[in-house]
Amino acid sequence: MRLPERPSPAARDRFLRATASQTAFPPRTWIRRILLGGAGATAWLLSMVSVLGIRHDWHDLPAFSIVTTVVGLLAAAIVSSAIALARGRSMVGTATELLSVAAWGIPSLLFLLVAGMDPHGPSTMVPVPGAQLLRAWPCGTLVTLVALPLVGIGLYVLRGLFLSRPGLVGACVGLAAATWAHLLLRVHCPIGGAGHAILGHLLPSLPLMALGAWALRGRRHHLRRSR
Amino acid sequence: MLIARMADGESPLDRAMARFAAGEDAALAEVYDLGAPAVFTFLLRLSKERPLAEDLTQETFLRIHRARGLYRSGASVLPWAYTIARRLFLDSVRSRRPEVAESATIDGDSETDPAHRAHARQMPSAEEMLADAELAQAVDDALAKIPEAQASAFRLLKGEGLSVAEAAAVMGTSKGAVKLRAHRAYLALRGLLRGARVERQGP
Repeated sequence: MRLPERPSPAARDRFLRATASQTAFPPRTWIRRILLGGAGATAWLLSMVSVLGIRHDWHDLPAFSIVTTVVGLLAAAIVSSAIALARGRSMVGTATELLSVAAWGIPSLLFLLVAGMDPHGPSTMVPVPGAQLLRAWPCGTLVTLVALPLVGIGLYVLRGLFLSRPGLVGACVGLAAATWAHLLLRVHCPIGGAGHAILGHLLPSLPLMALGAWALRGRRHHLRRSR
Repeated sequence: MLIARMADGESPLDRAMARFAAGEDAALAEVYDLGAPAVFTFLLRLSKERPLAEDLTQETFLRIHRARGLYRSGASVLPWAYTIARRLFLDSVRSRRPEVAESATIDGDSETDPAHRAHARQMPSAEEMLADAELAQAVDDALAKIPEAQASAFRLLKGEGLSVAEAAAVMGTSKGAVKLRAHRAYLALRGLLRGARVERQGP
């Protein structure tokens, strides 16, 4: 049997003195952030819907395909947001297994959703044979512009939380933001073809995931310097 | 395990943290008193250097203090504290690698602490303690020779009594990886301890 070691009483005094000069997040900061972040994200997405508008051929589209695509994207956006922003049972973020599954599984599901549903549904009204890369970049830019503030909101909510896997959580923040933006673009963009949807709507998820991962991993360097 | 868990799964440390997070400033000292020994012991075994372990313990609790408004009621404080402590330790190793490799002696000004003395009254006999201390020292020495990830997995599961899920959260890896690392540490320890015994007994 081994005795637990104890820091010296002087170390305890030093700690208590140090807390007096350190600003702590006030009680209920998390709730406030979730509410503020949620309100900000909702307001941003609604304003983008009103600015970009809904595709002109919306009412002519096959109902099953629309419902499947929109519901699938909405579910993916909600699930990825919840996984990215969860504090976890031990306050260090979502478990690694779930983060890994989300970071690989959700983009794969979105790919299957887009590749499986779009050729028969929402995107087929204005088919663009070939030249998909050229027609994809405006949508890619829009996805990125819509998602960037959402990435910022995600990072704001997580600020100050000590995460076990900051890189993976950051990637999930980027993925969640990109999925919300993808949903918005799916409602706005009338260009057909799975190729366009993959290149223009899905591909921007990757740089956004990298951005989120970089932003949260960067905190480690900040920790190292601040000590 | 150093911090006892209540029947509902919450330890006194978790309760103190919940009170502190709710705005009761006085609970901070209680959080430190209940959590610091476990975190300090963990850091001391990792670093083998008392001043560094004290500094990192203070830093760990300063981060917990700052994050009070982010605390989720019912969350386990100890795995959270271990995660911060381990990360701070690894950062300190990266920034001053040559120094940490040379371990320092662990001197005992803790023996003047009344709480320490009270705990000591429940201790077994001196012979048992000596045997345990020798074994613990041999295990510590052996753990210092294996990779940090394996040693930490072993310490968190066997030394600190965390569950596999909690240890996985602390180490930022999957439950399977923690089990594998702990198993490898166990195999390595067995080999090292057997080797040490053969050496002591002589040819």
